[in-house]
Amino acid sequence: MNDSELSRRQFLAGLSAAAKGSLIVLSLPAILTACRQSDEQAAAQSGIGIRYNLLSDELAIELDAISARIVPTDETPGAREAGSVRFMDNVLADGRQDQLEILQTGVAELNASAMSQFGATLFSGLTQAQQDELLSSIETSPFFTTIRFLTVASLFAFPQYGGTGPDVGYNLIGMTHAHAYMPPFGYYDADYAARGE
Amino acid sequence: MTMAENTSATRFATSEDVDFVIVGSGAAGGIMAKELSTAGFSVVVLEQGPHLTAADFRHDEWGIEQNNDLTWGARQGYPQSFRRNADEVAQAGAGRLGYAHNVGGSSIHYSGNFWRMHPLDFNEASVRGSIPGTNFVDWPITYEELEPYYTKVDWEIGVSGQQGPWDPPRSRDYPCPAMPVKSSDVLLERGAKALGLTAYPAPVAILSQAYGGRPGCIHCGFCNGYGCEVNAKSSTTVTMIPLALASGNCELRTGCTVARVNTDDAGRANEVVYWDASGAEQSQRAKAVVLCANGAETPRLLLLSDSAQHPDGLANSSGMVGKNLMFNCHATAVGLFEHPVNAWKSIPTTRVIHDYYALDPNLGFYGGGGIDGRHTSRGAPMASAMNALFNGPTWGSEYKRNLSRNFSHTAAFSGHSTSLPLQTNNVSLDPDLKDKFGRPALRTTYMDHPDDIATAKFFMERCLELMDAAGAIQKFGFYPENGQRGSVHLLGTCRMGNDPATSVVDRYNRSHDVPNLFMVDGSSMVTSSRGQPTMTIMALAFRAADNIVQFARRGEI
Repeated sequence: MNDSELSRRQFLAGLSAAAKGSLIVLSLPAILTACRQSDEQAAAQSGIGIRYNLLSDELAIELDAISARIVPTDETPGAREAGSVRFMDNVLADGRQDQLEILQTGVAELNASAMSQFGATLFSGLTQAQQDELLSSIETSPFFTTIRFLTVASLFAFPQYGGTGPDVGYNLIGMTHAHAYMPPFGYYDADYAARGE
Repeated sequence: MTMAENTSATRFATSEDVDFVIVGSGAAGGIMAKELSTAGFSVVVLEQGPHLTAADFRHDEWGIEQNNDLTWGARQGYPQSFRRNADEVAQAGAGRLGYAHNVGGSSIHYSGNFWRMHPLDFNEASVRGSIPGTNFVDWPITYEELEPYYTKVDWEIGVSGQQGPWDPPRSRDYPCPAMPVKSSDVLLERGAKALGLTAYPAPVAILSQAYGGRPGCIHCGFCNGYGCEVNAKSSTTVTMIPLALASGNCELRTGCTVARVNTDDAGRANEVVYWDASGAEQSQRAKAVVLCANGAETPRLLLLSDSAQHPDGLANSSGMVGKNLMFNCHATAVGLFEHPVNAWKSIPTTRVIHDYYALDPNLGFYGGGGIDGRHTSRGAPMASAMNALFNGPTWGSEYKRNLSRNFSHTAAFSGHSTSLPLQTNNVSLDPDLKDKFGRPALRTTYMDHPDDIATAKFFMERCLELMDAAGAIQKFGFYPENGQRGSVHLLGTCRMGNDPATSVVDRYNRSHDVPNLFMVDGSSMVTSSRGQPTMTIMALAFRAADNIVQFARRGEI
């Protein structure tokens, strides 16, 4: 575990079980309209209706845009296919409501930067290059660290936590769902006995 | 042997004295339950967690790592606080002592690394000389006294390994052969050979082949932090608890959180007060009490059991309850290799180097330890992806492309090393923070001794050299240069000793103050070992049980 992971763990550990926040359950059509770009594919994969516990649709759109830059969809699936935003919504609603404010404030600041630097009202309205430029300027902030952590986690978390994982992540890193392996495990132990090492 | 049912057939009335109440069912408590119950004594085991079985264990990384499904934390109503020294106000969540809350305790989710201590560990203060400002002293027992119990652990729970050149003498070979070598450890071995060191098969409490009615390991890779899905890891849940329950003399009460141990007018422990699974307060009468709640919870329970008779906590006339907490220290080098290492498969480690078990005093600091091969992120996919290694980008397309490389083409060489016992490193009761039962939360005060940090740095440097010698393309290393903020090794907090003024339990794990109270877990360790304490905790438990049985039969409790 390196220092950054340690500090992240401490950070998350501090987000103790807070009182349950009010559940904001938005209507399915409204969400579908607002978040079609982010969620259609993931929803189709997971078969789960899009219904957020905690996130507003405005916030969800921006979180989707950010997470899609953190783990982009290119020749392989990324954060969108992993259902990152629904994962975030789910795990924040599950005893981590106090993290919501970090995301809300961070997105508001990012939108403000989109306006001041590029004249756009929303981060999600920027080009990918503009988005990357803004994110690069905040990549050590608690806000970015939090959303980066949640985005990466969503690739690997089981579907019960709201996303479509863990296949998106497993496929990226070369992990399998096999529960049993036999030697050789890797390249270097393949001819271990034959070499007489 | 089949898995025990989640309920005990045997029932005892709380109002009647049982021979022993055992608090905790982990590495030590499971052994104590089996030994005392099969010797014919009536035993009630109080375990705060559930009785999980292999069917409950999954590769659910978010649940295990972030929700603390096994280890519990603030989320489950068990917050902890941490501070560096007594001048600071401890902060909730600033550090954490980790242990599993379930039958089997941390023997369920630990890595299974199973080093014996060496003869030197027991008398090192005499050999090396005392270290000013520390409580570094000899153990009141020797390796020779503990050796039969190390061997008993090997054969009763099932251990795999092969005697190495630096290993202490053993009276009987391992019951199971060593585990098959992993690529990460082939690399460690190559590095070792090039540097004139010896890497040899690591002992593990994981079965390399069928033993005791349990199957051999299937190399799924989810050992460290996870419960074993096939019962190949030799936890007390699958080795000791079934035998205890089958004895007909043991009642295992799960979901029971102990509030305090009460004493009678004569100063003897006579009842254990606890909240049962429904939250109702109960108290179990007992002729004797054995605390096996681990190096954090055993001292906490003693401090919570204060009374007019014992104003500073039960069994604490020495003032040493909770003191001398030792974590062990650590260091790691991560290396990138040309071909797939796939260290995420199989058990955490299969080779160990013990050439640096005791460092040369001329280095200017005290310490020692061992080095083994590992996966960079304990084999865990999510944790692996969190780390952008080798100064790579932490997000974006390049980060994404590096994930596979980082997961499968890297190996870690890890040093595991000593911690000195210091009175200033301890567990105590937080004055403000409470747990779900309203008890003062566990407060940890800890700063590694400078020698411990120097030792960790030494091991990081050796691990980096090994990486070069093994042919790593890129490498980096790290160690806790600013001190650790938590651990899963919880040692020293009810230290064993001959002198009641400076120790909590005697050489038989009996309280110096309360003759029918025993503390048997990592808390009784006098020094830290070199970083893999569970084997010694289990051997001490078998030894303590052996002696307790004899005391009880002679009417000496």
